[in-house]
Amino acid sequence: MKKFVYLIPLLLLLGVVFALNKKFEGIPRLGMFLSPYTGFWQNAEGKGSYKDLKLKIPELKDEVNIVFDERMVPHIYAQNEHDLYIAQGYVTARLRLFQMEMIWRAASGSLSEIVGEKTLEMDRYNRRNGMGYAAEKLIDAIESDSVAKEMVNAYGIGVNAYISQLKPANYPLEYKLLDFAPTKWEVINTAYLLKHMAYMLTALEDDIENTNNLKLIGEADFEALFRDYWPEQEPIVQKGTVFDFTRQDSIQTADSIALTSFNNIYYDNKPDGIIGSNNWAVSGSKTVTKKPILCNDPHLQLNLPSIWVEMHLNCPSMNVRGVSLPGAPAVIIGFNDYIAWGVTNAGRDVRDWYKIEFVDGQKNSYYQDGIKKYATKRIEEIKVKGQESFFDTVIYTHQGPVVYDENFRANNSTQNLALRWTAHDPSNEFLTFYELNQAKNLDDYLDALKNFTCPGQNFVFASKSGDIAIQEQGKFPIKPKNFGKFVLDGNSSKNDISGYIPFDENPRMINPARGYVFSANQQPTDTLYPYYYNGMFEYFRSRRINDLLSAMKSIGIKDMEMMQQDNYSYIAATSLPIMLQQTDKSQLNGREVEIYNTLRTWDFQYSVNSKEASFFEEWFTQFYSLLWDEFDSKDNDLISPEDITTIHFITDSTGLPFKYFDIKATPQVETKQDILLKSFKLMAAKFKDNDIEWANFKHTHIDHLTRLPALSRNFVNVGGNLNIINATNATHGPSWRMVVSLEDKINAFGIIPGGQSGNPGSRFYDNEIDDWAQGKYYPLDAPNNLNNIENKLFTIKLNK
Amino acid sequence: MGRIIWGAIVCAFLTWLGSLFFDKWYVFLTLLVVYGWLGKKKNLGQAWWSGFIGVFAWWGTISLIKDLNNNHILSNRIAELMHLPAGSLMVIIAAVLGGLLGGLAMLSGRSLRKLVQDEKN
Repeated sequence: MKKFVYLIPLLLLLGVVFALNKKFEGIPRLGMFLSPYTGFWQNAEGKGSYKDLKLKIPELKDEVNIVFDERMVPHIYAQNEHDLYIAQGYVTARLRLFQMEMIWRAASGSLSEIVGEKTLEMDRYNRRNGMGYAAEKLIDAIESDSVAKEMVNAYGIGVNAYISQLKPANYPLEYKLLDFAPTKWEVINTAYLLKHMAYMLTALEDDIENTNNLKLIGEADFEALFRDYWPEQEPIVQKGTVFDFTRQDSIQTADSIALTSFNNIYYDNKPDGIIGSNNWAVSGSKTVTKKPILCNDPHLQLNLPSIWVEMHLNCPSMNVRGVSLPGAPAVIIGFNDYIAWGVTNAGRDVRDWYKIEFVDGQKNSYYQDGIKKYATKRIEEIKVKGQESFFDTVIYTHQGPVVYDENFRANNSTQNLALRWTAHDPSNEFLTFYELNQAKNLDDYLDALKNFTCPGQNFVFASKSGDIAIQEQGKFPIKPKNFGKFVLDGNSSKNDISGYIPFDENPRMINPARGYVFSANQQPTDTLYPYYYNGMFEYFRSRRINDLLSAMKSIGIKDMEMMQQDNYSYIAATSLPIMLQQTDKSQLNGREVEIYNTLRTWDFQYSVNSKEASFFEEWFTQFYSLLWDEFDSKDNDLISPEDITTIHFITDSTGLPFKYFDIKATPQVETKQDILLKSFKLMAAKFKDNDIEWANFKHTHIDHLTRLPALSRNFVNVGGNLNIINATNATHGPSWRMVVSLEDKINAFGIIPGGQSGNPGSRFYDNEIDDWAQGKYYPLDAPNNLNNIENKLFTIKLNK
Repeated sequence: MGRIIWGAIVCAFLTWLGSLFFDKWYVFLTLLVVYGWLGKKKNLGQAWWSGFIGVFAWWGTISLIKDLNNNHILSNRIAELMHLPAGSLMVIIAAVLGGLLGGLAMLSGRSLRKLVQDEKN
């Protein structure tokens, strides 16, 4: 028996190897992960990672050269468009493969396959919103167009060329952490990405909350608290502009605008609703060089890897540079040798909800105008890691998918809500970007926009030839007043949307006499516009931009860069003086008086070190929740009025239902002065012992997609806030800043709050964050000849 | 001592060789087990130490070079992920882990040989 002692080392070895090769919840296989040959060490980029490389991709027609510059920006030089998009797919996968997979998985409701049951609810929600249905329609449209088909297919070939040459040791770090292999790229993933953007940028509607609100406060108060338009707005199309067309009506009256037989459904999962963006273009009449300057900073959730990846695409038919979205071909925001363009979100409501009355328990048919209509069913199989697949049957009416029913968040079988969403319609948005990438003038720009359906965007434009323009472009329903604000009665065909605003009647401004165009998610027009619309609109950045641009002359690039960093708060400037004036100072104690006096001399700048910004922000927030306590309910999904309404409650002395100043929970009846004082004291209590500078109070952070703090930037020292041109709050901000001066040789600058690489082990992962926070920019050169690229890092030569 | 050092060099070489041809992180260990078996001049202690030192040094060196080349960017992140205070610990962890595996593998090979030899006797 003694000799079996000799077996112990082997048994021990096998045991240790087995343990190190086992995956535990949340911990990767440690042997694989810690071995310098297979583990995370392989993702530690060093000098050797930036060596010149030659690769074969058999689908290529010709040679492609990809030069990476000192910031890891790829400059792709191809002989034809087919090869160009293959190369774009290849380099994007090389830089951002895990991010690409996460986006299509999230959009298509396929996260549970790798994460497990935790994400099943989210997957169901995305599928019930018809994301797969929408992506399939987009793919159909792409397949029927030779240009779009070529682009999207070529891009996919490039992505798969990268995936297929990956060995497990070279998988991106996150695959090793989560322990799964990259999934082969499908062409439909590009469609999922676009639908993901459509969702993020249009799922801002409050139909359910509004319906509940209306029931609670009645029509008169609703009209006062939830106005469509306040007259101080500076819309995209200059105020007072007369439109030379009349409304083409297709629905004159809707049957019942707000459905009253509706019970609440909890409605979470919506995007935060705080996304927004700025863009503007100034004409040569206002610039030093006498040539236009175009600027854009789209505000989105700040993530690592960055939402954008910089890209320079060159082939005989185009030379374009800017940012692209990992997962999609072409440049989305940028410039070429002739023009520049940028986008902001339109915020128009294109998602409407219908309550459907089914005829039978199986929900095979439903009534409209008393006539039976047949529904179709789409069975969604959701794969769940470590479990059986989950099957969800989603019913489709002529409006669209029934997102909510008794199987999903509704409390009984009569609460069936179908979604009508323009993202479900066939469209071909990639053609817009394809055409913008090679546009030469104003006509090309307008032609390119015609293909753009959803999400509605404000496309700003400037050309070397001196034109500036802006158009709000999307497929926007023709609506009677208040249509689409509330849950609609699906029983009546009068509530169907049957017409859309024609392309040439979308809000547009070309070369206005004032010498500038701009958008900041505000209303596109004043009330002279013949069509009714609703949506989510902003009132503060728009007015600040207008104030600044109207006053500026002899503008240079630096002026525009400084303007993108502007930290002036229109909310503070319009409300604080009156808040102070109406706060009874005699009721304040020592520390409170100190804060009060500090606020009196403040310049309304949300700068990094401002303590006043922290005071004001907290005061306004406390005041807001005391004022709108009526809408704070645990059992009912309600929505509180907007900041602009709150400001009117502060500044106006007549014309509004001021009874809302009362705090319901107290026996006495409060006035404006009471809650100003009360909220001031609540605020001061927070700063009782010390001041907190704004950047620390706000605490901007940029999280990795997995939310792991070790892969995130947990604090960024940066000013600004929502409703400020420098729209950086805790989690959202300018995801790309770009300034393009359209001189004979284009002079362009830009920066992203992250880096080019998606690899947390790369110095290009987050190298731009500090410069971004400090308001710095990098030059964006786009030479037609690759030899003119300065500071090359390395080159990849692709061949067939 | 000389035997241990010589054995360690061979172990390091086999670790490199094993990683060159196999994707799985543990396959190199089979080479060490075989070498442990064949290296008949060693006693059990010598086998263990040559395996330990060889793989410790090799994994440690590779990790150290990667870490220095990378300016500790990733090792610091992974250390944070594992709630460890410093990225340089990751190099030590790689080295010690490799050493333990290497030592065990050599010891296993040598012990198996002993087992078979004792059977014959």
